[in-house]
Amino acid sequence: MTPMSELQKFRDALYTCSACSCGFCREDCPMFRTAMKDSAHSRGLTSLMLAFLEGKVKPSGGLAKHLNLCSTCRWCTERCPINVEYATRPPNLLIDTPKLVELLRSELLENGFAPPKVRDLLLNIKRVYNPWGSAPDHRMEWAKGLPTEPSAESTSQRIFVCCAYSYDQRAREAVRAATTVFQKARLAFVPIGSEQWCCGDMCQRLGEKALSESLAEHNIQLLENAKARDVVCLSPHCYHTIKNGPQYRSAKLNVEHYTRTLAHAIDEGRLKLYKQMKNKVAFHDPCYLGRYNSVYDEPRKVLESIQGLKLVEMYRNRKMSFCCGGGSGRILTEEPPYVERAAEERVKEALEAGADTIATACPLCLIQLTSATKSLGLERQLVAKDVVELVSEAL
Amino acid sequence: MTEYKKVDQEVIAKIIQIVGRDNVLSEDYELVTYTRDHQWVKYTDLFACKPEVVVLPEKPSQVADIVQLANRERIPVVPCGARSGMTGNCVPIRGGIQVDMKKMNKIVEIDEENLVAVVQAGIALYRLDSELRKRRFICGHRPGSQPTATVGGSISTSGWSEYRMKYGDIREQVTSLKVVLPTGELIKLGGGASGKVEKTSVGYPGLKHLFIGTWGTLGIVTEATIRIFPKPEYAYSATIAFESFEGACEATTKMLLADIPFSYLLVGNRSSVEFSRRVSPTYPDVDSIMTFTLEGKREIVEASKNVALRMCAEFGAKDVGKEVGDATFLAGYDAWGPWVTAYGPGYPLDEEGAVPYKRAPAVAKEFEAILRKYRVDNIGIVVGLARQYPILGCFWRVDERNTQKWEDYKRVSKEIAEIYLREGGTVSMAHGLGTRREEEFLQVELANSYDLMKKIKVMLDPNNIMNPGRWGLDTAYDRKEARN
Repeated sequence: MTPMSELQKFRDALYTCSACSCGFCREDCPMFRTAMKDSAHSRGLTSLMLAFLEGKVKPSGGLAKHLNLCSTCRWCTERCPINVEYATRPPNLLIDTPKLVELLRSELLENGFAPPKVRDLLLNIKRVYNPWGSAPDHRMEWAKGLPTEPSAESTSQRIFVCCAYSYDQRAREAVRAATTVFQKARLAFVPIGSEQWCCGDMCQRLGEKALSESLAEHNIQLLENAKARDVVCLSPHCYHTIKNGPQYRSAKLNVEHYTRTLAHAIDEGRLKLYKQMKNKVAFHDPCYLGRYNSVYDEPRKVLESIQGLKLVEMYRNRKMSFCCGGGSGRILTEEPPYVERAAEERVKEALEAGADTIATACPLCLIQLTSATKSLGLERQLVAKDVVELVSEAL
Repeated sequence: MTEYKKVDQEVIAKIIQIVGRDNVLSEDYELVTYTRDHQWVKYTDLFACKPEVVVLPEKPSQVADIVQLANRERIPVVPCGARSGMTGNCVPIRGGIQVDMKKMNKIVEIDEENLVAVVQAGIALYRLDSELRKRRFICGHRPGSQPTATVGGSISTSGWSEYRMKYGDIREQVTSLKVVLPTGELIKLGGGASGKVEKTSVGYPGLKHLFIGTWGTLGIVTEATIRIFPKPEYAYSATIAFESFEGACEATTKMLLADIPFSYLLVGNRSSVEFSRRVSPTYPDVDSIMTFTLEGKREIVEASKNVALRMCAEFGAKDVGKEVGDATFLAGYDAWGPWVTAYGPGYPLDEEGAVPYKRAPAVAKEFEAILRKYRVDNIGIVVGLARQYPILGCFWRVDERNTQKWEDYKRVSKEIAEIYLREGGTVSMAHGLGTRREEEFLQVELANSYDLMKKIKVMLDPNNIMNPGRWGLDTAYDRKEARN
């Protein structure tokens, strides 16, 4: 089925959104906060898609660049008054804008339209199997100097280390902390290794479904060779893709995000945090952990188990959390002009909540929020950390 | 009709000089998103009214420069906020320049001592309210479209608030305005020397009202000073089942005479109950449902609540609890999800106007007869949200794609409007006359003041550039031309 014919199936839903036209999906949409125009939020996207189906909008490079503003954070889908339970009854009127954006991006790609940065990102994945474009041999560099891992034969569990954790300098610190924490909790920490490829999240969101499928095929083969049935993902993006993506369905894996693993370890008394800390921490819900997979409590539970740590909530939290703007490849393709970067707005919100630390459980959020504290010159007032880094400090 | 210049590359170059390239949109995928608001539109006309260019000013001087340019070049200018209005008022029916105000979204000042906020026109009510709540205040203007509507949009459509019984509507909350006139001058209107005084008796005190509810036909509001209110300490909401719609309306009148300080009160008839039952099968099988809200100091709310519940009980009414309240879809955009999904793709329409409480039950029956006659979905009839001449909303559904029914839809709308006027009410209390029926009802309701409206328009906007084609005002310029 072509992307266009798949998009046609959503005609009723697109029309319904156009007829409702309420625009509730605007104010806290990171795409809108970045561009502040009517085309830059779900209502605008659905009207331009309807116009596209009617032949009133032509495929173009400009349109592809515009679509790239969407981080597929799904805030719009949660906020939409039409997206209530009965919307799933036939005819399906659920307005799943991230899915629709994926289809239109795919259609534009087939017509040869993609912004240069997106093209580079996809090319990187094709060449070296990671969006960062770094050499596959360097994937395990983060592990240099760490104590020897338990033998791979002793466990059927594997850690899926996101490309961001593997290649980004800031995120590498978090995965090193994760190693320490897992070992203290007597949990196996066996990464798949330098053979691992990208999970396929970014290319899937950017409309390159076939590429995402070939990456999955390779990763499934690796896991099968290692006889691994359980996968712990450090990134919510890998977690969502491997857990829910049709390309991984055949592997029948048990997939878990690391915050759940740690929450269980705390419950069972395997992970004990002795150190007294003084941080006031605001937890930033990663979209692919929260809205996509309803994991809201576990990361908070892990943070609250740290003695002395005070958890504060930002004005927008949980289901209504505000995206950092880094999803859907935007971590690498975000470029000016912007009215305000979503991550900067989020950092200010954490300060307003009285936090001195903004914690998250996603490498993309971590990179975005760290860069925002720097660009705003607020590094002394607020520090961005991965939940696992705080846990490691509290050991 | 006035002849307008097309927006060509030369004009776009001049606009770019004023606001910068990033604030000018002219691609097809941008323009199609500025073609409709929340008024029903024939599907085949959906993308027909497109602006030629969209401009996103960031400061008042840029708005003034754009309007001056348009006035010089004779190009239509149509301002817009969130485009959540229900009248097509911000759709550029003559093309030209759409001035999207959403980048002018700053809070200039929150004056907690004098209970006013000074804000730019493009700020969303939700965002202003969130900021105020952090400081224990609220924005009194809370329409169903609050999560999206802007302050400027609410002012230029004279928007209507669901909590109007306590706080009033935006028109009563504006103390002063800054406005760009059609000839490009930036002026301040009302509010005394600071702009924060609620009432002054100096000069024509009603001047600011020329720019409230006039759809940008007389200028563009760039900044407003509006009253803010203390965040209520306590709120109590009740959902009460009545044996008849007549009984519920009578109880409402009695409670209002007893001066119970409601913030919100709305009564739904049997068909609105049937709709709620369609969506929530456990909903009670009753003839009428009333919901009301009281806000303020806890002891005052508690006392008022007891009086209200006692008076309802005198009519045999029963408090049916919070669960039923949550499943009651009476008003507001958030009810539209269930409306849409319960009836299939289409436009849930609220035909509204005002009639006295005691006439509401009889009029509701007439409305339902009209809906039956033209075989359109009846989603329910509600009355309330005012102390006198309450809003009477008739909800029904339009499938904009059904061209065969289109004439019937227009007839339903017209016949309902005629009844509002016959009852001495108004054709629209909340949303305004949509482009679908404005010419028919303007003259009837406005009588000879309609001519004064035209004179004001010609005086302020000599070249008819501001949101042209509205309310038949173009004819004022035909006569002017004829005189010349």
